[in-house]
Amino acid sequence: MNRKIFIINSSEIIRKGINAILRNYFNTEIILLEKKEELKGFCELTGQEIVIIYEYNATEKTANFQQIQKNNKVKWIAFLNDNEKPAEPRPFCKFYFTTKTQAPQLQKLVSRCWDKTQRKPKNTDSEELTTREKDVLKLVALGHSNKAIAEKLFISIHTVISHRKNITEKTGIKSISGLTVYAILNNLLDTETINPEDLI
Amino acid sequence: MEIFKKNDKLSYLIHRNYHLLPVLNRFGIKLGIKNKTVEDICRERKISTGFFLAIVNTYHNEEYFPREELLSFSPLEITHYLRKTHQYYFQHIVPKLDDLLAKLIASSHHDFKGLQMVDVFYKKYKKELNQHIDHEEERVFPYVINLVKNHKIDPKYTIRSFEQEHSNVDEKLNDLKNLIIKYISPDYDENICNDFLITLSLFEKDLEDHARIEDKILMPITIEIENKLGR
Repeated sequence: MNRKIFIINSSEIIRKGINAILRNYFNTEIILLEKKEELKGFCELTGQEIVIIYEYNATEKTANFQQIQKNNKVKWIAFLNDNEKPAEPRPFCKFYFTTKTQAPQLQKLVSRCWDKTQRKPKNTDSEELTTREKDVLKLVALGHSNKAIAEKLFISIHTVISHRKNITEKTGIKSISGLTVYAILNNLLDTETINPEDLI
Repeated sequence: MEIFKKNDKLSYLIHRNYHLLPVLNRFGIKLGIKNKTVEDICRERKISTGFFLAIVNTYHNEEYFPREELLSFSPLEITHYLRKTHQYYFQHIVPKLDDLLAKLIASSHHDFKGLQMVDVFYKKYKKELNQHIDHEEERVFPYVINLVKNHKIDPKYTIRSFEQEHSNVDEKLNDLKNLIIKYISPDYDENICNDFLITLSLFEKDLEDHARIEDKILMPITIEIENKLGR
Protein backbone atom coordinates (compact mmCIF):
# COMPACT_ATOMS: atom_id res chain seq x y z
CA MET A 1 0.00 0.00 0.00
CA ASN A 2 1.32 3.41 -0.92
CA ARG A 3 1.84 5.96 1.78
CA LYS A 4 1.58 9.71 1.75
CA ILE A 5 1.89 12.51 4.23
CA PHE A 6 0.01 15.78 3.76
CA ILE A 7 1.15 18.80 5.71
CA ILE A 8 -1.50 21.51 5.68
CA ASN A 9 -0.62 24.79 7.29
CA SER A 10 -1.11 28.42 6.34
CA SER A 11 2.42 29.25 7.48
CA GLU A 12 5.14 28.40 5.02
CA ILE A 13 7.74 28.27 7.80
CA ILE A 14 5.73 25.71 9.75
CA ARG A 15 4.94 23.60 6.64
CA LYS A 16 8.56 23.47 5.62
CA GLY A 17 9.73 22.90 9.18
CA ILE A 18 7.49 19.87 9.67
CA ASN A 19 8.51 18.65 6.23
CA ALA A 20 12.20 18.92 7.16
CA ILE A 21 11.65 16.86 10.32
CA LEU A 22 9.65 14.12 8.59
CA ARG A 23 11.58 13.96 5.35
CA ASN A 24 14.71 12.64 7.02
CA TYR A 25 12.81 9.94 8.77
CA PHE A 26 10.19 8.67 6.34
CA ASN A 27 10.75 7.52 2.82
CA THR A 28 7.27 8.65 1.89
CA GLU A 29 5.94 11.27 -0.43
CA ILE A 30 5.18 14.44 1.50
CA ILE A 31 2.79 17.01 0.06
CA LEU A 32 2.66 20.54 1.41
CA LEU A 33 -0.58 22.47 1.14
CA GLU A 34 -1.56 25.91 2.30
CA LYS A 35 -5.26 25.32 2.81
CA LYS A 36 -7.41 22.32 3.60
CA GLU A 37 -9.53 23.04 0.54
CA GLU A 38 -6.56 22.13 -1.65
CA LEU A 39 -7.07 18.53 -0.56
CA LYS A 40 -9.94 18.47 -3.04
CA GLY A 41 -7.38 18.28 -5.81
CA PHE A 42 -6.51 14.81 -4.55
CA CYS A 43 -9.96 13.27 -4.61
CA GLU A 44 -8.73 10.68 -7.11
CA LEU A 45 -6.40 9.02 -4.60
CA THR A 46 -7.44 5.48 -3.75
CA GLY A 47 -6.14 2.61 -1.67
CA GLN A 48 -3.42 4.58 0.07
CA GLU A 49 -2.37 5.08 3.63
CA ILE A 50 -2.50 8.78 4.28
CA VAL A 51 -1.48 10.85 7.25
CA ILE A 52 -2.81 14.39 7.23
CA ILE A 53 -1.17 16.90 9.53
CA TYR A 54 -3.45 19.90 9.69
CA GLU A 55 -3.76 23.14 11.54
CA TYR A 56 -6.18 22.92 14.41
CA ASN A 57 -8.60 25.74 14.48
CA ALA A 58 -11.34 25.72 17.10
CA THR A 59 -13.64 28.07 15.20
CA GLU A 60 -13.40 26.31 11.87
CA LYS A 61 -16.13 23.96 10.82
CA THR A 62 -15.14 20.42 10.04
CA ALA A 63 -14.52 20.29 6.33
CA ASN A 64 -15.93 17.44 4.33
CA PHE A 65 -13.38 15.11 2.80
CA GLN A 66 -15.49 12.03 2.38
CA GLN A 67 -14.01 11.16 -0.98
CA ILE A 68 -10.46 10.90 0.28
CA GLN A 69 -11.61 9.25 3.53
CA LYS A 70 -13.75 6.70 1.77
CA ASN A 71 -11.12 5.43 -0.66
CA ASN A 72 -8.06 5.54 1.57
CA LYS A 73 -6.92 4.82 5.11
CA VAL A 74 -6.66 8.29 6.51
CA LYS A 75 -5.22 9.32 9.89
CA TRP A 76 -5.39 12.89 11.07
CA ILE A 77 -2.85 14.67 13.26
CA ALA A 78 -3.69 18.12 14.56
CA PHE A 79 -1.12 20.85 14.93
CA LEU A 80 -1.95 23.28 17.73
CA ASN A 81 -0.51 26.72 17.48
CA ASP A 82 -0.58 27.25 21.25
CA ASN A 83 0.23 24.91 24.07
CA GLU A 84 -3.30 24.19 25.10
CA LYS A 85 -5.06 20.95 24.59
CA PRO A 86 -8.13 21.13 22.38
CA ALA A 87 -11.30 21.59 24.40
CA GLU A 88 -12.81 18.51 22.85
CA PRO A 89 -11.22 15.92 20.63
CA ARG A 90 -11.75 16.40 16.92
CA PRO A 91 -14.04 13.87 15.23
CA PHE A 92 -11.42 11.80 13.46
CA CYS A 93 -8.26 12.79 15.22
CA LYS A 94 -6.64 11.09 18.17
CA PHE A 95 -3.25 12.75 17.85
CA TYR A 96 -2.03 16.29 18.17
CA PHE A 97 1.19 18.16 18.70
CA THR A 98 2.28 21.71 19.44
CA THR A 99 5.23 24.03 18.81
CA LYS A 100 6.82 22.53 21.95
CA THR A 101 6.87 19.00 20.53
CA GLN A 102 10.35 17.65 19.86
CA ALA A 103 11.26 16.26 16.46
CA PRO A 104 11.64 12.60 17.58
CA GLN A 105 8.21 12.74 19.25
CA LEU A 106 6.64 13.99 16.04
CA GLN A 107 8.31 11.23 14.06
CA LYS A 108 7.01 8.68 16.56
CA LEU A 109 3.53 10.13 16.30
CA VAL A 110 3.49 9.69 12.54
CA SER A 111 4.92 6.18 12.62
CA ARG A 112 2.20 5.16 15.08
CA CYS A 113 -0.34 6.11 12.42
CA TRP A 114 0.94 3.65 9.85
CA ASP A 115 -0.75 0.31 9.82
CA LYS A 116 1.99 -2.20 10.59
CA THR A 117 -0.08 -5.22 9.57
CA GLN A 118 -0.08 -3.99 5.98
CA ARG A 119 3.64 -4.57 5.65
CA LYS A 120 3.44 -8.15 4.56
CA PRO A 121 6.58 -9.65 3.05
CA LYS A 122 6.15 -10.10 -0.65
CA ASN A 123 5.26 -13.56 -1.86
CA THR A 124 8.63 -15.02 -2.78
CA ASP A 125 7.29 -18.16 -4.44
CA SER A 126 8.90 -19.23 -7.66
CA GLU A 127 8.16 -17.01 -10.62
CA GLU A 128 8.41 -19.99 -12.96
CA LEU A 129 5.20 -21.23 -14.50
CA THR A 130 4.10 -24.68 -13.36
CA THR A 131 3.58 -27.44 -15.94
CA ARG A 132 -0.17 -27.02 -15.64
CA GLU A 133 0.05 -23.28 -16.11
CA LYS A 134 2.12 -23.86 -19.23
CA ASP A 135 -0.57 -26.22 -20.56
CA VAL A 136 -3.20 -23.55 -19.99
CA LEU A 137 -1.00 -20.84 -21.51
CA LYS A 138 -0.45 -22.90 -24.67
CA LEU A 139 -4.19 -23.26 -25.17
CA VAL A 140 -4.80 -19.57 -24.45
CA ALA A 141 -2.17 -18.71 -27.06
CA LEU A 142 -3.87 -20.96 -29.58
CA GLY A 143 -7.00 -18.92 -29.09
CA HIS A 144 -9.16 -21.29 -27.04
CA SER A 145 -11.84 -19.99 -24.71
CA ASN A 146 -11.82 -20.73 -20.99
CA LYS A 147 -14.63 -23.23 -21.51
CA ALA A 148 -12.75 -25.08 -24.26
CA ILE A 149 -9.57 -25.14 -22.15
CA ALA A 150 -11.49 -26.56 -19.20
CA GLU A 151 -12.90 -29.35 -21.38
CA LYS A 152 -9.55 -30.18 -22.96
CA LEU A 153 -7.69 -30.38 -19.65
CA PHE A 154 -10.55 -31.96 -17.67
CA ILE A 155 -10.63 -29.16 -15.12
CA SER A 156 -13.30 -26.66 -14.08
CA ILE A 157 -13.61 -23.22 -15.66
CA HIS A 158 -12.93 -21.81 -12.23
CA THR A 159 -9.56 -23.58 -12.17
CA VAL A 160 -8.74 -22.28 -15.65
CA ILE A 161 -9.46 -18.73 -14.53
CA SER A 162 -7.31 -19.19 -11.47
CA HIS A 163 -4.43 -20.52 -13.61
CA ARG A 164 -4.78 -17.57 -15.95
CA LYS A 165 -4.66 -15.16 -13.05
CA ASN A 166 -1.42 -16.76 -11.84
CA ILE A 167 0.08 -16.71 -15.31
CA THR A 168 -0.58 -12.99 -15.64
CA GLU A 169 0.80 -12.32 -12.17
CA LYS A 170 3.98 -14.25 -12.86
CA THR A 171 4.65 -13.00 -16.38
CA GLY A 172 3.33 -9.45 -16.02
CA ILE A 173 1.44 -9.89 -19.30
CA LYS A 174 -2.31 -9.41 -19.55
CA SER A 175 -3.49 -9.40 -23.16
CA ILE A 176 -4.06 -12.63 -25.04
CA SER A 177 -1.82 -11.61 -27.92
CA GLY A 178 0.88 -10.59 -25.43
CA LEU A 179 0.67 -14.04 -23.82
CA THR A 180 0.93 -15.61 -27.27
CA VAL A 181 4.17 -13.74 -27.89
CA TYR A 182 5.41 -14.87 -24.49
CA ALA A 183 4.57 -18.50 -25.33
CA ILE A 184 6.43 -18.26 -28.64
CA LEU A 185 9.48 -16.57 -27.09
CA ASN A 186 9.63 -19.34 -24.49
CA ASN A 187 9.24 -22.09 -27.06
CA LEU A 188 5.96 -23.31 -25.64
CA LEU A 189 4.42 -23.32 -29.11
CA ASP A 190 5.71 -25.20 -32.06
CA THR A 191 6.19 -22.41 -34.58
CA GLU A 192 7.22 -24.91 -37.26
CA THR A 193 3.68 -26.11 -37.75
CA ILE A 194 1.75 -22.88 -37.14
CA ASN A 195 2.21 -19.36 -38.38
CA PRO A 196 2.68 -17.24 -35.27
CA GLU A 197 1.50 -14.11 -37.04
CA ASP A 198 -1.96 -15.62 -37.33
CA LEU A 199 -2.14 -16.05 -33.58
CA ILE A 200 -0.91 -12.72 -32.28
CA MET B 1 4.88 17.44 -5.31
CA GLU B 2 4.43 20.98 -6.50
CA ILE B 3 1.53 22.78 -8.07
CA PHE B 4 2.45 25.45 -10.60
CA LYS B 5 0.84 28.86 -10.23
CA LYS B 6 0.05 31.62 -12.72
CA ASN B 7 2.91 33.81 -11.52
CA ASP B 8 5.53 31.13 -12.10
CA LYS B 9 7.84 31.74 -15.01
CA LEU B 10 7.14 29.37 -17.85
CA SER B 11 10.86 28.63 -18.12
CA TYR B 12 10.75 27.42 -14.50
CA LEU B 13 8.04 24.88 -15.38
CA ILE B 14 10.22 23.47 -18.15
CA HIS B 15 13.28 23.31 -15.90
CA ARG B 16 11.23 21.44 -13.33
CA ASN B 17 9.74 18.99 -15.81
CA TYR B 18 10.91 18.91 -19.39
CA HIS B 19 8.25 16.32 -20.24
CA LEU B 20 5.87 19.27 -20.29
CA LEU B 21 7.44 20.50 -23.55
CA PRO B 22 5.06 18.64 -25.88
CA VAL B 23 2.14 19.72 -23.68
CA LEU B 24 3.15 23.38 -24.18
CA ASN B 25 3.35 22.81 -27.94
CA ARG B 26 -0.23 21.56 -27.92
CA PHE B 27 -1.23 25.02 -26.74
CA GLY B 28 0.76 26.52 -29.61
CA ILE B 29 3.50 27.76 -27.28
CA LYS B 30 6.98 27.82 -28.78
CA LEU B 31 10.26 28.45 -27.00
CA GLY B 32 12.10 31.73 -26.73
CA ILE B 33 9.81 32.56 -23.84
CA LYS B 34 12.22 34.89 -22.02
CA ASN B 35 11.12 35.59 -18.46
CA LYS B 36 7.42 35.54 -19.15
CA THR B 37 5.09 34.10 -16.57
CA VAL B 38 2.38 31.56 -17.23
CA GLU B 39 -0.17 34.35 -17.08
CA ASP B 40 1.75 36.52 -19.60
CA ILE B 41 2.03 33.72 -22.11
CA CYS B 42 -1.59 32.70 -21.75
CA ARG B 43 -2.74 36.28 -22.27
CA GLU B 44 -0.53 36.62 -25.35
CA ARG B 45 -1.74 33.40 -26.88
CA LYS B 46 -5.36 33.87 -25.77
CA ILE B 47 -5.37 30.68 -23.76
CA SER B 48 -7.45 30.40 -20.61
CA THR B 49 -4.89 30.50 -17.78
CA GLY B 50 -7.01 28.30 -15.56
CA PHE B 51 -7.32 25.63 -18.21
CA PHE B 52 -3.62 25.77 -19.04
CA LEU B 53 -2.63 25.40 -15.38
CA ALA B 54 -5.07 22.57 -14.82
CA ILE B 55 -3.69 20.62 -17.79
CA VAL B 56 -0.07 21.28 -16.88
CA ASN B 57 -0.55 20.44 -13.21
CA THR B 58 -2.48 17.22 -13.79
CA TYR B 59 0.23 16.20 -16.26
CA HIS B 60 3.00 17.07 -13.83
CA ASN B 61 1.39 15.35 -10.83
CA GLU B 62 -0.28 12.07 -11.55
CA GLU B 63 -2.32 12.27 -8.40
CA TYR B 64 -3.42 15.85 -8.68
CA PHE B 65 -6.91 16.07 -10.04
CA PRO B 66 -9.01 19.12 -9.14
CA ARG B 67 -12.22 17.64 -10.43
CA GLU B 68 -14.56 20.56 -9.75
CA GLU B 69 -12.25 23.00 -11.47
CA LEU B 70 -11.70 20.74 -14.46
CA LEU B 71 -15.41 20.25 -14.88
CA SER B 72 -15.84 24.01 -15.30
CA PHE B 73 -13.94 24.17 -18.60
CA SER B 74 -15.43 24.40 -22.04
CA PRO B 75 -15.77 21.14 -23.97
CA LEU B 76 -14.49 23.02 -27.03
CA GLU B 77 -11.26 23.87 -25.22
CA ILE B 78 -10.90 20.29 -24.11
CA THR B 79 -11.56 18.68 -27.49
CA HIS B 80 -9.14 21.12 -29.10
CA TYR B 81 -6.45 20.07 -26.68
CA LEU B 82 -7.23 16.36 -27.13
CA ARG B 83 -7.07 16.72 -30.92
CA LYS B 84 -3.67 18.36 -30.69
CA THR B 85 -2.59 15.44 -28.54
CA HIS B 86 -3.74 12.95 -31.16
CA GLN B 87 -1.79 14.85 -33.81
CA TYR B 88 1.31 14.68 -31.65
CA TYR B 89 0.91 10.91 -31.31
CA PHE B 90 0.47 10.25 -35.01
CA GLN B 91 2.82 12.82 -36.43
CA HIS B 92 5.60 12.32 -33.94
CA ILE B 93 5.47 9.50 -31.40
CA VAL B 94 4.20 6.60 -33.52
CA PRO B 95 6.58 7.27 -36.45
CA LYS B 96 9.41 7.54 -33.92
CA LEU B 97 8.47 4.20 -32.37
CA ASP B 98 8.19 2.61 -35.84
CA ASP B 99 11.62 3.87 -36.71
CA LEU B 100 13.26 2.78 -33.45
CA LEU B 101 11.72 -0.68 -33.56
CA ALA B 102 12.88 -1.16 -37.17
CA LYS B 103 16.39 -0.12 -36.14
CA LEU B 104 16.25 -2.38 -33.11
CA ILE B 105 15.32 -5.39 -35.22
CA ALA B 106 18.06 -4.55 -37.71
CA SER B 107 20.61 -4.40 -34.91
CA SER B 108 19.84 -7.93 -33.74
CA HIS B 109 21.95 -10.76 -35.09
CA HIS B 110 20.53 -13.94 -33.68
CA ASP B 111 17.25 -13.48 -31.85
CA PHE B 112 15.52 -12.44 -34.98
CA LYS B 113 12.43 -14.48 -34.19
CA GLY B 114 11.86 -12.90 -30.78
CA LEU B 115 11.99 -9.34 -32.00
CA GLN B 116 9.88 -10.23 -35.03
CA MET B 117 7.18 -11.47 -32.69
CA VAL B 118 7.43 -8.24 -30.72
CA ASP B 119 7.07 -6.39 -34.01
CA VAL B 120 3.91 -8.32 -34.91
CA PHE B 121 2.52 -7.53 -31.49
CA TYR B 122 3.44 -3.86 -31.84
CA LYS B 123 1.66 -3.65 -35.20
CA LYS B 124 -1.45 -5.15 -33.68
CA TYR B 125 -1.28 -2.65 -30.85
CA LYS B 126 -0.87 0.19 -33.31
CA LYS B 127 -3.91 -0.92 -35.28
CA GLU B 128 -6.07 -0.91 -32.15
CA LEU B 129 -4.76 2.48 -31.13
CA ASN B 130 -5.55 3.84 -34.58
CA GLN B 131 -9.08 2.52 -34.46
CA HIS B 132 -9.61 3.97 -31.03
CA ILE B 133 -8.35 7.42 -31.97
CA ASP B 134 -10.19 7.47 -35.33
CA HIS B 135 -13.37 6.68 -33.48
CA GLU B 136 -12.84 9.67 -31.21
CA GLU B 137 -11.88 12.02 -34.03
CA GLU B 138 -14.68 11.01 -36.36
CA ARG B 139 -17.53 10.29 -33.99
CA VAL B 140 -17.02 11.44 -30.41
CA PHE B 141 -15.49 14.91 -30.85
CA PRO B 142 -17.80 16.02 -33.70
CA TYR B 143 -20.75 14.91 -31.57
CA VAL B 144 -19.56 16.97 -28.60
CA ILE B 145 -18.74 20.03 -30.72
CA ASN B 146 -22.09 19.91 -32.45
CA LEU B 147 -23.86 19.59 -29.13
CA VAL B 148 -22.14 22.66 -27.71
CA LYS B 149 -22.48 24.83 -30.80
CA ASN B 150 -26.01 24.00 -31.83
CA HIS B 151 -27.57 23.23 -28.44
CA LYS B 152 -29.46 20.40 -30.00
CA ILE B 153 -29.43 16.78 -29.11
CA ASP B 154 -29.47 14.14 -31.73
CA PRO B 155 -32.20 11.72 -30.66
CA LYS B 156 -30.22 8.81 -32.04
CA TYR B 157 -27.15 9.20 -29.89
CA THR B 158 -25.86 10.09 -26.47
CA ILE B 159 -22.22 10.42 -25.51
CA ARG B 160 -22.64 7.17 -23.62
CA SER B 161 -23.24 5.29 -26.86
CA PHE B 162 -19.73 6.29 -27.97
CA GLU B 163 -18.07 5.24 -24.80
CA GLN B 164 -15.20 2.88 -25.31
CA GLU B 165 -12.82 1.31 -22.91
CA HIS B 166 -9.29 2.62 -22.89
CA SER B 167 -8.11 -0.30 -20.85
CA ASN B 168 -7.49 -2.72 -23.74
CA VAL B 169 -5.16 -0.32 -25.44
CA ASP B 170 -3.34 0.49 -22.20
CA GLU B 171 -3.02 -3.18 -21.38
CA LYS B 172 -1.25 -3.97 -24.63
CA LEU B 173 1.18 -1.12 -24.25
CA ASN B 174 2.20 -2.38 -20.84
CA ASP B 175 2.55 -5.92 -22.22
CA LEU B 176 4.80 -4.58 -24.95
CA LYS B 177 7.07 -3.02 -22.35
CA ASN B 178 7.19 -6.22 -20.33
CA LEU B 179 7.93 -8.40 -23.34
CA ILE B 180 10.97 -6.29 -24.13
CA ILE B 181 12.14 -5.72 -20.57
CA LYS B 182 11.68 -9.30 -19.43
CA TYR B 183 11.56 -11.77 -22.28
CA ILE B 184 13.60 -10.98 -25.37
CA SER B 185 17.20 -12.17 -25.61
CA PRO B 186 19.74 -9.41 -25.10
CA ASP B 187 21.05 -9.45 -28.62
CA TYR B 188 20.55 -5.98 -30.02
CA ASP B 189 21.90 -2.48 -29.81
CA GLU B 190 21.13 -1.49 -26.25
CA ASN B 191 21.07 2.25 -26.90
CA ILE B 192 18.38 1.83 -29.54
CA CYS B 193 16.48 -0.45 -27.18
CA ASN B 194 16.71 2.13 -24.38
CA ASP B 195 15.45 4.85 -26.69
CA PHE B 196 12.55 2.66 -27.71
CA LEU B 197 11.59 1.84 -24.14
CA ILE B 198 11.95 5.43 -22.95
CA THR B 199 9.79 6.69 -25.82
CA LEU B 200 7.27 3.97 -25.09
CA SER B 201 7.15 4.80 -21.38
CA LEU B 202 6.67 8.50 -22.01
CA PHE B 203 3.95 7.66 -24.48
CA GLU B 204 2.27 5.47 -21.88
CA LYS B 205 2.25 8.30 -19.37
CA ASP B 206 0.91 10.74 -21.94
CA LEU B 207 -1.85 8.32 -22.92
CA GLU B 208 -2.86 7.81 -19.31
CA ASP B 209 -3.22 11.54 -18.83
CA HIS B 210 -5.11 11.80 -22.10
CA ALA B 211 -7.52 8.99 -21.18
CA ARG B 212 -8.11 10.56 -17.79
CA ILE B 213 -9.13 13.87 -19.39
CA GLU B 214 -11.50 12.05 -21.75
CA ASP B 215 -13.12 9.71 -19.27
CA LYS B 216 -13.30 11.92 -16.23
CA ILE B 217 -13.71 15.38 -17.70
CA LEU B 218 -15.04 15.38 -21.24
CA MET B 219 -17.50 12.57 -20.62
CA PRO B 220 -19.17 14.01 -17.48
CA ILE B 221 -19.26 17.54 -18.93
CA THR B 222 -20.99 16.27 -22.05
CA ILE B 223 -23.47 14.23 -20.04
CA GLU B 224 -24.30 17.33 -18.08
CA ILE B 225 -24.96 19.33 -21.25
CA GLU B 226 -27.15 16.54 -22.57
CA ASN B 227 -29.13 16.56 -19.35
CA LYS B 228 -29.57 20.31 -19.49
CA LEU B 229 -30.85 20.07 -23.03
CA GLY B 230 -33.44 17.71 -21.72
CA ARG B 231 -32.42 14.25 -22.66
